[in-house]
Amino acid sequence: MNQSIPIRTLHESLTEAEREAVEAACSHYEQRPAAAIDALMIVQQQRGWVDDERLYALAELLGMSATELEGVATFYNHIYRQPVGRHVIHLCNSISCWLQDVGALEQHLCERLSIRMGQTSQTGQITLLPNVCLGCCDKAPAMMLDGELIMDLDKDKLDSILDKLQGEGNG
Amino acid sequence: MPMSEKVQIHIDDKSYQVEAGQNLLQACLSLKLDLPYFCWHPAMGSVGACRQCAVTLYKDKDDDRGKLAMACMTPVSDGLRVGLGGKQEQGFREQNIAALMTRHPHDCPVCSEGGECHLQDMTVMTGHHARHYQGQKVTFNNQYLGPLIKHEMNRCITCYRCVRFYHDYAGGSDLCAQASKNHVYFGRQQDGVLESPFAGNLVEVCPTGVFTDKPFNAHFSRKWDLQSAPSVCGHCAVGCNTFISSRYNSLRRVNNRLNPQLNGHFLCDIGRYGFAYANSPKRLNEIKLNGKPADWSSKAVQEALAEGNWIGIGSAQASLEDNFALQQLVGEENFVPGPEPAMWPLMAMHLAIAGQKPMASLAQIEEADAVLILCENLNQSAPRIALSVRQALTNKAKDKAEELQVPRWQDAAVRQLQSDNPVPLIYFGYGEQALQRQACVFCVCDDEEAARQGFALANLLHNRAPQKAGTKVSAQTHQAADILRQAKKPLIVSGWSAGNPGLLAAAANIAEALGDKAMLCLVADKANSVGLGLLAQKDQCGNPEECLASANAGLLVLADHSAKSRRWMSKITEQARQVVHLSALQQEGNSSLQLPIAAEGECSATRVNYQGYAQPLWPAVTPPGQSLPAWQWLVNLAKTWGHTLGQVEDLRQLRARMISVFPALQACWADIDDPIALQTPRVSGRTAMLANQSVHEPKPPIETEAPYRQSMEGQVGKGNSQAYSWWPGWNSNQSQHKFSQERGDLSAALLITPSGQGFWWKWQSAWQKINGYHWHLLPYKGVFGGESLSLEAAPIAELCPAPGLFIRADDAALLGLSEGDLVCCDEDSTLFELRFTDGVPPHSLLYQIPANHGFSLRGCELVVLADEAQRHAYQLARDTQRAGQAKDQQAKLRQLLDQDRLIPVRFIEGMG
Repeated sequence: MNQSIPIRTLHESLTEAEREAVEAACSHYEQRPAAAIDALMIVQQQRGWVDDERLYALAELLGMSATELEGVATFYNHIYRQPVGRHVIHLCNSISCWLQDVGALEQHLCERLSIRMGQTSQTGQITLLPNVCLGCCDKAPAMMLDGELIMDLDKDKLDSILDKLQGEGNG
Repeated sequence: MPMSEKVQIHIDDKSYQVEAGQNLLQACLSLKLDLPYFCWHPAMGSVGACRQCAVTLYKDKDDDRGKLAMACMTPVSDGLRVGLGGKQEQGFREQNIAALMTRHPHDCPVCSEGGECHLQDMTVMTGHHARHYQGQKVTFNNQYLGPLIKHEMNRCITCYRCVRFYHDYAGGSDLCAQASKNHVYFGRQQDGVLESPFAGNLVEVCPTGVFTDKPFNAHFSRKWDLQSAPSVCGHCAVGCNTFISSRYNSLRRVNNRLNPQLNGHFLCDIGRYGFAYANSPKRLNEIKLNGKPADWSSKAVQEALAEGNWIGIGSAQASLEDNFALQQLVGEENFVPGPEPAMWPLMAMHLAIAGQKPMASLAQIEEADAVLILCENLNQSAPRIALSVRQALTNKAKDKAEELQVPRWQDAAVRQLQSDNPVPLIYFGYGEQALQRQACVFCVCDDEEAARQGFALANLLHNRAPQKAGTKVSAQTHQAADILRQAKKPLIVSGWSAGNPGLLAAAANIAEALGDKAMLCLVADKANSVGLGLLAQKDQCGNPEECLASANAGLLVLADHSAKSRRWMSKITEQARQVVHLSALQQEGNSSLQLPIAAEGECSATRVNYQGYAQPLWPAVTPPGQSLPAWQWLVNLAKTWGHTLGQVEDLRQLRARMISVFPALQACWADIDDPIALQTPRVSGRTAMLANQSVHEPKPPIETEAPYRQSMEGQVGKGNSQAYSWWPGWNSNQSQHKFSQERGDLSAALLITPSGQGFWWKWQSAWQKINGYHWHLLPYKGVFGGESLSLEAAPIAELCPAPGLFIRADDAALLGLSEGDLVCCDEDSTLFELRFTDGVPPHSLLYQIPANHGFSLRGCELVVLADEAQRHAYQLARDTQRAGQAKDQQAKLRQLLDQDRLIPVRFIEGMG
């Protein structure tokens, strides 16, 4: 089926801890494929993203086809099928944030990091991704940094966050 | 709610009586009203995904505001008040299509769907004729999906029909919706051949040009330029109804023709792409005597065909007309029903059972609430039946939905309920294909054991059913008995594929034991196996073995292209005085005279399906070169012999003789007063396409008896008599969705009338196999490569897998073999790739081999690992074969394209 990547056994592709965690997730559901999201998150937590080899291994472990699992993985924008930087920023682009001029913030972010939306900064430090509604329209504009919600954004707030992140990178 | 119940609904203040239980969209289409839609499909139900079929629902007469609703999600109910043509709903539908079209590239002129595109039709219907969207279009990468389907993702309007068909309906797991929002993508995880044998239906299921017919694209014509004819698939015993289409006298494509009792809206890929054997480089276009072109009137040919002692060998791949003419010519006592002796007892058993019990149609199969399959490899022998069995497995979920006040056509709800409401599928047999994997009871055994357990099962269900003494009743048989007892509409399926008549007898006994509630489906071997059997059943018929033993006979053979029949033929031709093959493809060896005959789509013919239904098929082209329908050669021969068959002047007279033998056939060829045109009213180039040869417009070829004209003169046709799918405003095949309930008028005739009398079959010792080998070799055909004619079609040949030997992993471990090893059986020269599966009975191996590849072993002592030299030779042979296939295909395509530019002179009446 897969020609570009050497076929390896489940043992080689996933660590024992990962396999155990996936099995534990499966036990919560009536059907194994139902644990697909949990399984993808388990691998992502270990490795930062889900590569093809891990996707095939998980599909086999969950008893579903690689295409079906790929459908799940690509549906959710917090599951990464490409390598991401050490930090991931999801900038909300829904209507409330848009009314609060998230566009200017996006431009600022892109300029400071010298990247476009969807790219990773050259140092591999920060990945910038769009997000459809983070669910805090009353505190727009908002973004999510490594799973943490940051609201009432403005340029200064953004700069201080980036300073912190980039300082850590240099230090 | 029973479907016959009527309710009154009001559409735009007009009252209509419609059938209860359906949805509003269905009702509107059945009333000949135009309501645009995308995601709904008559066979797949409603999901309300595309939002296109919006209507306004009013509470009562006084309500003047109403609310928008999707017609496909609204059940019809008495007094329902609907607005269809008002500003509100029309405006919504126009804007909805505008939104869907923001992704679409408007590339109709270079899209092969153009002219038969549902999206085009619907866009015109909504009145969305001006483009306002100024933004960027999303663009996608296309995938390589194999030799059958071309992928062009940019054209997608995200109706989800493709995955609902491929994944949900047909059970393929390698095509899914990917990503989300404006990036939704329908494809595989990576490039690769689509695995499902029903992938070809994506071409018709997709409302636009995302999935198109790849072989058709390579030699393309617009639908309006095609000359199409109603036909019947010739690759298995189901007899799916098709349209076969041509341009410039070459066959271009096959697509589905709605027959609610059989194929419904879908075909398998063998049926859709297998017709291309007619365009194969191996096609026989001229008379050949000892391998060299010859002339009919030449002395040598006439001498070879001189009157004398002739034996006729019929073929299940040939039509009823051809076999009938052959039988008339040589006499019933000299007629042999096909060149595979193993098929004769199966044929007799099938007809005997069909004479007692009716065979379930595919529509009936889809109503079953429990299914037992007795050692029949349905996935190969009749893929379309396997697809129907798959639909039966949703019935309990549909019942449950109805119990919860959810209509049966609410597809998403029904799919949710399916895992908790399974329809039991019981499988006795071997193998590991889609249906086996879904079985809740799976008894892994060979055909003989399956037949024994079948007899035991009948005995458990009814104490009068005979049992084979000494059978150890398996636990699965007891389970099966419990399931079948409780079922309201159990279905018993078996067939010829394992080659054991005992299976048919066992299936008949089980159906008899279950009484009237049971449905029976026995799958015959080839497209006209049952028709051939009916001819062979006549009283005068001699024993084939005896008549073949007569010395110094000549053989008149209707070709059968499988390797099995070739092997048997090579044995009996050794003693023959003369061998004459009537064949559409060149015969290798042992044939001194070959007469070229018309193939699928080139002449009128009739075939009898597994149920005993005779169905007519009509030609879309004239036969190439010197080819004639086989019956015509036989009539010509009868003329030189002074035989009474020689008095037949045309097809009408031949058929009159057939009717005197089978009176029921009358209904099959019922006259249509006004001829129907095979070309569309707007076919182009009518007067110009032959102008390089003659400025006179040639007379179209006329076939007596056919109610069709190979021209644009004549009516368009209605319902099932249509030559192509069309309805005013509906140029795509979705025009068939209109009034699909009313299409009962099929021109088919049931040639076998079941008596309904009960009968118990007794076990016969002939069904027992005496096989002293260590390993029993069981035949296990694949979908692609399992049928011999379609293997001559280039795209199918490309998909045919290498010979495979299936073994249990534990057995292989004992032998020290691993998966993928190249092995052979004892000293046999055939090399197999070793594959592992649990579906292998003890002491057995399953062998999968292309139907045109000879292999005769029934058992072996050793599985031998190939040495380095063998492996090298094997790889070389495969590479050469692949390269050869590709080269042949290219050459043939070039020739066809050249032919389009220069129509052969013979196409013109009187100049051939």
